[in-house]
Amino acid sequence: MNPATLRYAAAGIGALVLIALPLGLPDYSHYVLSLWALTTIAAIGLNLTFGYVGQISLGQAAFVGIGAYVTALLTTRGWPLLAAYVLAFAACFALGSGLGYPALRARRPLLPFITLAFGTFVFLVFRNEDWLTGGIYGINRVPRPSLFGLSTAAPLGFYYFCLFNLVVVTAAVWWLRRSPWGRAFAALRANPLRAEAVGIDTRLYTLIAIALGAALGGVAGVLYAALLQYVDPTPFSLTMSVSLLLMVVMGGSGRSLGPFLGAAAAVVLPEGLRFAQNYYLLGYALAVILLMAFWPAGLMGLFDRLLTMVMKLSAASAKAPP
Amino acid sequence: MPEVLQLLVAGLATGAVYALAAIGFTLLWQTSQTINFAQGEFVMLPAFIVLLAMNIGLPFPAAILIGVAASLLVLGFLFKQTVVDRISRHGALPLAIATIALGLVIKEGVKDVAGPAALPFPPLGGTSSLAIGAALLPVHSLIAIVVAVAAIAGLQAFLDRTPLGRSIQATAQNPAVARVLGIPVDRMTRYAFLINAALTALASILVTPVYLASFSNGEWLGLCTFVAALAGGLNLRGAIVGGLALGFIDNLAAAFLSATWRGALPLVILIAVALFRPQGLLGRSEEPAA
Amino acid sequence: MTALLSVNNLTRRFGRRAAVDAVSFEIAPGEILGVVGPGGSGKSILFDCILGRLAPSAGEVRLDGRPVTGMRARDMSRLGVARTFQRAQLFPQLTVRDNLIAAGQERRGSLWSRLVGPPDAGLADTAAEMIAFFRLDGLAVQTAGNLSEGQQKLLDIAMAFMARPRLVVLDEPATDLDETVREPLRERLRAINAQAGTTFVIIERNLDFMASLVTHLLVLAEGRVVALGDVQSVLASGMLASDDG
Repeated sequence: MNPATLRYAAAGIGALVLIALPLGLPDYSHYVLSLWALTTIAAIGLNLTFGYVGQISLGQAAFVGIGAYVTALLTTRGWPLLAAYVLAFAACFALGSGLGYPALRARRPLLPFITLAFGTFVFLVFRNEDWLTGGIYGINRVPRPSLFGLSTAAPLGFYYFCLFNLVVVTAAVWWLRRSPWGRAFAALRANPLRAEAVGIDTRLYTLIAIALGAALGGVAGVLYAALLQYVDPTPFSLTMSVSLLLMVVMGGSGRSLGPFLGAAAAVVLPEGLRFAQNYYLLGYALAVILLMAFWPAGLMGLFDRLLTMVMKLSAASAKAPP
Repeated sequence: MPEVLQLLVAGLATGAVYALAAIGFTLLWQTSQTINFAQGEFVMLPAFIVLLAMNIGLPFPAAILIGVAASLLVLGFLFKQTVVDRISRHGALPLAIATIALGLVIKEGVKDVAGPAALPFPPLGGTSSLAIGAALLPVHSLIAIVVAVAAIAGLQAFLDRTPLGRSIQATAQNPAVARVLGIPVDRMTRYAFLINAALTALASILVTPVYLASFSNGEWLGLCTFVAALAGGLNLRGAIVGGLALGFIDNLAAAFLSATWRGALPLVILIAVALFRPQGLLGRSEEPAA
Repeated sequence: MTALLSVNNLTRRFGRRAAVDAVSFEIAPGEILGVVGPGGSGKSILFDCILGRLAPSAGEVRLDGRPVTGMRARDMSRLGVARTFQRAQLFPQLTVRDNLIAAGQERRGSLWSRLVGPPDAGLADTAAEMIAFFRLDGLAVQTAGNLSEGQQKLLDIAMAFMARPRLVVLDEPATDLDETVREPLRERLRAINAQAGTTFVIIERNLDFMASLVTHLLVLAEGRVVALGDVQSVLASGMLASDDG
C-alpha cells in the first residue's frame, strides 16, 4: 500500500470510530463529543491562521461568539439554521479580513494585538448591549435544526449533526490544502522572499487564511448555540481564544490532525480527570510551555518521531543476522 | 474647572503606569525580540505577592520589598533563564506562544491560590484626598505620578548617562551591531529582563489600589500596555508618550463614553496606527521594500 | 526595435555611498547579456533594484517601454520577468515538484480557479519537463531541503522557467555547481534562448561559463558602467583584462 491509500484508509477508520463511539454511552458523553467536534472546527480555523501562514490570532473566541449570537438571534426569530451559517460565515470572513488588512500593512506583528483588542471589544458588546444580545442573561430557547425530516433535538442526533459538519469542514480544508492556495500558504511560510519573486501575493494569501480561519470560528459558533440552546457572554472570553490557540499548538501547528488531538486533549480528557478540573487549564498551559521548550512540533511531531523510531527499530531487527 | 484637573491627575496617574509597563515591554522586544504577551499578568502578579506577604503578618513596606524582590527573581531572572533562553532557540513563534501560555498559567494560578474575588490593595499614601480649589485629588494618584515619573526619569538617566546603561541601549537599538562592538549582549539582555520585572512590580503596586487586586487584571492592563508600546512605535520615548496619551484618553472615555465604547478604544487606536502610521507615533519610517 | 528592458541612470545609495551609480543600459529581445565585475561592484544590488527587492534612490527602469521603476517583485514576475538567486532560494519543506508548480501557478488562471481548479494548476507536465530538462530525474517527490547543494541550485534555476518568462535574470548560475553540470546547464540555457527566444541576463564571476554563451557584456566597477556592448567589442576594448573574478 502506498502512503496515500494508507492515509485514506486511516481517515475512513477514524470516521467509523467516531460514528460508533457514542453508541452505548450515556447522553452526557454525546454532549461532550459534540463540544469536541465543534471545538475542533474552531481549532481547524485557527490552524489555517497560525499553522499555515504563521499569524497569531488572539480573537478566535470572538468569532465563535459572533457565530453563536448570529445563530441565536436568527433562529429564535424563526429563520432557518442555513441562514445562520451563511451570515455567520460571511460576517466572520469580512471581520477577519477587516482586522487582517490593517495588521498586515505594518512589518511588525500587529495581528495578535488587533485580534486581542477585537476580542475584548466584542465581549463587551455581548455583555453590555442588552437590546441586542440580552446582556448577561443572554438568549434562551435556541432551537435545534431538523435535517431531511430528522430532528437533532436528542443528544445523539445532534452529535451526528456536529460530526457531519466536522467531516464537511475537514474535507474542505483537505481540498484547500492540496489546491494551489494551500501550496501558496506553504510557500509564503517557507520563504516569503522567493514566494514574492515567483509572483505569489504573500499579503493577499495571508489575509485569505486569516479570514477563512475566522469564518470557521463562526461556523463552530453556529453549532455551539444549537448545542447549548442558549448563549451568554461568559464563554467567549480571552481564555477561550488562548485555549483554542494552545490546542492548535498542542496538537501540532500546521498539521491536519493537530486540531483533532489538541481539542480532544482540551475537551474530552478533562472529563476523565474530574478531580483535577480546577487545575486542568493551568496544567494544559504548562504542558504547552514544556512542549515549546522540548518539542515545538507538538503531539503530531512526537507521533512522527515515535513512528520513525519504530520503523528504524523494525528495519534494524529485520536486518539483524539470525 | 475642577473636573478637568481631576481628569488630568487621574489620566496622568494611569498613563504613567501604562508607560512603566510599556517601557519594559519595549525593552524586551528590542533587546531580545521577545514579545511578552504575559506583560499584563506581569503587572497583575506582584500585587498578589505583596498581599500574600501581608497575609503572613509582614508590614506593608516590607511586603512591598518582598513583592519587588520576588518579581525580580521570578519575572526577571527565572523567566529569562528558563522560558526565554530555552525556547527562543526554536524561533520567535514558539516563544510568543510560550508567553501566551505563561500568561494563562499566571492568571489561572492566581485564581486558584487567591480565589476569583477582587481584593482591596492598600494605596501608597492612604485614602485621603487633597483639595485644590473645588477639585479633590486623591493623594494616592499624586504619589503614583511622582513615583512613576521619578522611576522613568531615573531609568532614562541610567540609560543615557552611565556606561552600563549605554551598553543596554546599544543592545536595544541593534543587538547585531552591539555584538560587533564587543558589548556582552547576553548580559545586557538579562539586565533588560530585570529592569522589566522591576518596572512591572512598580506598576503593579501603583495601579492595583485603583482596580482592586483581581486575577483578571492582566487582560486590560496587558492590552493597554501593548497599545501604548505599539502606538508609541516600540521605542522608549514612544512608550512614555504612548502610555501617557492612552492614560488620558482612557480616563476621558471612562468619563464620557459607555463601557462598551471605552472598551473599543484599543481596537480603534491599533487599527488607526496600522493604517495611518504603521511605524508608530515616534517610530522612524521603515524601508518600503528590502 | 524597442528594448525589452531599459535602465536609465539607476542609482542606489546607502548613506552617502552610491552602490549603484547612474547605470544605464538596454537589452533587446533574445539577447543574452553577461554582467561582470569584481565582487562588491554592485552587480547584485543593481538587479535587486531592477527586480523590486530594493527601492532605487534615483533613475528609471522600463519594460517594453513602460515604466516599472520600484515595482514589487511579484508584479515584475507577473509581467514575465523571472529570476534565480545566487544562493538557492527554495521552499525547503515542499517537494521538488511542488516547488516548481508554486513557481508557475500564479501566472495561471484566476485566484478563484486556483482554489476550485486542479491541485497541480495544470502544471504537472511542465514541472516534469523541467525536472528532466534540468537533470533532476527521480527527485520529483523529494523534499527540496534534502537535495544536494548543486541540485538545489538547479532547482532554483528551473523554478525561473516555470512561468514561461520572457526575461530571466540569472544570479551566478554556475556558482555551487560542479564542473560536470556546468556545461549541460549552459547548453540548456542556450537551447531555451534559441527555441523560445527567452532573453537572459547572466550575472557571473566565472568567465569561462559566460564566454561562449553571452551575446553582449556589461562591465561594472564600483557601481559604474565601465564597458557595454557586444562581446567582441568589449573584449577588444580590454576592459576585462584587469578583472580578478
